[in-house]
Amino acid sequence: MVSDLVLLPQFLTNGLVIGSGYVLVAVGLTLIFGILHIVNFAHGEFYMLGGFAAVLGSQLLGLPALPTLLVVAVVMAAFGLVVERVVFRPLGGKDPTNAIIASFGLSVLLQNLMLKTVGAEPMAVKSGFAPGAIQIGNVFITAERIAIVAAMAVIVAALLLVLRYTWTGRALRSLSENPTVALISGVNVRRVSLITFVIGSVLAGLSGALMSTVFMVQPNSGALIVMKAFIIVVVAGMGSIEGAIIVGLALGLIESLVAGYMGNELRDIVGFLIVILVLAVRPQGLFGLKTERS
Amino acid sequence: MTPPILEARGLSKSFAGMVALDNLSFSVNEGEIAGLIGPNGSGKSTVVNLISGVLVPTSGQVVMRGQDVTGAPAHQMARRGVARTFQMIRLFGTLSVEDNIALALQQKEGPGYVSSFFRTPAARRQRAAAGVTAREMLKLFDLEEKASDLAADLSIGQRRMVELARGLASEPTVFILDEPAAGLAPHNVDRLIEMIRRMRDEFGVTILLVEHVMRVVQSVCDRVVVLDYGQKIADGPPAEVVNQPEVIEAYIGLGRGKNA
Amino acid sequence: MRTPLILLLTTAIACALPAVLESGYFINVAIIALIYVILASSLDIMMGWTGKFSFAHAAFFGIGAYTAAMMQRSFGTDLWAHLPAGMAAAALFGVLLGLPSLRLQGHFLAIMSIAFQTVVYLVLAQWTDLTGGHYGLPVEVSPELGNVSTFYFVTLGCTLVACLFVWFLTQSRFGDTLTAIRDDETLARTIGMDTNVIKIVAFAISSALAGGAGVLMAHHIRGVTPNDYTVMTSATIVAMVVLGGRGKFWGPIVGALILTILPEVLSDLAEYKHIMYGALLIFMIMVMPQGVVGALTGRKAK
Repeated sequence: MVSDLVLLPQFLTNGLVIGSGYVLVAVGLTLIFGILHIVNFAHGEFYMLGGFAAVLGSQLLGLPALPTLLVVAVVMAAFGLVVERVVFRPLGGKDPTNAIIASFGLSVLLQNLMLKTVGAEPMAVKSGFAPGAIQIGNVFITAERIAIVAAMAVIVAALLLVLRYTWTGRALRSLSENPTVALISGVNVRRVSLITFVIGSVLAGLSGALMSTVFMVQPNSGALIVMKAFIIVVVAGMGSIEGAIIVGLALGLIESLVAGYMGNELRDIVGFLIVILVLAVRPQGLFGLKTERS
Repeated sequence: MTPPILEARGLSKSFAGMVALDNLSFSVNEGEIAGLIGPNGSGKSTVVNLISGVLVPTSGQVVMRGQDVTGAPAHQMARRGVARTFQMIRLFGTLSVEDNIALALQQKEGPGYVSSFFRTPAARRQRAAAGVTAREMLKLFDLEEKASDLAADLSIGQRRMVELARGLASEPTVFILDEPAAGLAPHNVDRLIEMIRRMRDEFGVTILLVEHVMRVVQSVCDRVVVLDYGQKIADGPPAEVVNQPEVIEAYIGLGRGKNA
Repeated sequence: MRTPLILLLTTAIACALPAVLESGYFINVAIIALIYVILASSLDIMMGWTGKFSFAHAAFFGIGAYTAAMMQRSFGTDLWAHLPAGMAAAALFGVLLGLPSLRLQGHFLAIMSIAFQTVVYLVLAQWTDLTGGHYGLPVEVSPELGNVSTFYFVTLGCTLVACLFVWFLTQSRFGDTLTAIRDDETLARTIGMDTNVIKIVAFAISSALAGGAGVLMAHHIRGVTPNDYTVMTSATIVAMVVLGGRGKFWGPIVGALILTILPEVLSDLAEYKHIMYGALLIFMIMVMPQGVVGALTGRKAK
């Protein structure tokens, strides 16, 4: 057991890194799913495309880390804009199940399109950092991994500031509380929806770019991550950004501990068991308000 | 004297700490048209949802013919003879008007899903009989020519009548009408008043009418219970109740009673 | 009763196929097409008739297939034992997924079903002792079914039975009840329908038929591997239902036939078939959400 405990800090560190990636994807999804009520199964493909956009920036254009992230943000903003305008807006307001099917189709389309154009081989994103791990106590960690956690903290902090202090952020929050009232009080719901969707798409892309420096990217990279993002959003409670941050980090830590102490093959199953349990017991999520209405 | 058909005994309901209904007791007697009135937000809809099994009370009892049925789910309350309409009209939009009614009156005959699957003669007879009853009901409500239209294609006034026909067809012990005049044009309100009376006079149906259009309540109800802020403030014949100071205060005092 | 007659007639014509199609390859395609007809028709019980989304149909398909493979490995059984067992196993898991889903509406059920699909895939791929892991398990076909034409007739028979079952089910009171739940579940309860029981039964039936299709598939391709039962397979089945038309008897049948036969006919495009399915899903939802059969027959009361 001694050796097990020696590894604990390392497992926790790994979990923090993976959890940070989950947080970015899940916060983006909670904006889109929790607030706009768009069930976007293609959100994982946004993550995957972000990874490939980073490959484009770092490998093909030879850009350093920050400009590469900028490229990713711009590409994903443009992509999110097109998808919202072309697919989700025309479907909005009608049968919500139609958007579920359409986004499922988009997910299948993007995955296989990338498979045909870039192939199934995993690709790495070059961070430009010095190779090799840094030792802190018993914990080994690479510069990329530190950067992931730091970037997540900065991006999430920036997002929270935007939501609190900008007009769009306030409009978004009023939209999440009551769309009808928001509409009546002069919020341009269409514009706010578009901006929200674009922000969500950029967050997913940035996460994909950051995580691909460590885990590489391939066309099906997003398939599992989108499910975990849904798990996080649902467990946290629809539209709860703070909840998504906590649950996202927690899922990363739990997975890392399960992989370390119980076996790697159980890692991915844990999250799904948690969501089935939470949905069955507390359908409104851990941080969601119960809304029983007459 | 026989026990009342329906009794609420000390019913309370709160939502996330907000008290919507506070210790309400009232009863509805056989063959009566009882009114339940009150300003918006006074708890009328909560009462309907508690009696019809959509919600479970925080405390108190719902009693039917002396039997405690508190907390029974909606489908069981329906099988015990509680039929209802909805403030926002509810019909199966992709089914025909006739099927909407036939489905409702098939529920009491037990499942029968297996015999229906195998198309046994008994199942076919039952289905045909349900269709005949449904059309008779529609005739009563002057809608027989709409029988094969989709429910979604009717006007609001017609849809409201289909809701009444659906409830009446199921031969309810008590029929709850949840703000049936909501959204109706004046001539449709007259028709509604006429049909509510006929349901009781010709079919002997006991009716609990939840309404805030006073014209409807005053013209059909034998007795009214008045709610305000989740509490009963009056109970008696409509002519007496409307003159009680508490009722006037609740309706007019705060300028909330534009329909009064 | 016109529809079952047309179905019988179509089946009679389909009996002539092995004589016409000389190449075993085309008979193989026909068998796959029939298996997908069962899958799409059974998914439509949930998707079209009850209005509940499940992206886990391939999981039930896989549970049926693996039941066959594992039973054969342990007991040496054949197709006729596998069919009822595979259907029962899939139905059991259907109930298992259905129970916690009862309280969930619309998109939560969709998410839950994908989570379930993923768990089943992970178990099939990673519990190597039980499932053979990524390599899967072999399935041997008993000699009297070894001929591809014979197996075609068996599959055709099963498909006919499954389709007739779906038709009688959806045209019965049970079907009316499913439609009522789809239109307005609150109202369905209010007029006395025990919607929870109905939904669980519908889920079990839909899953059982998918399990049966899985047993046929395992025998047809003589083995099981986890990659045949992924969320992409679920996507394919959903695409068939949406393409053909939800809640129409012929919808999923037509959708399944088009999407299995088309990639074979345009064999140059076969490698792009998943791209096509994805694009098709988006296109159909935006332009013709009622599906091909829905668009042809129009909206009318039954």
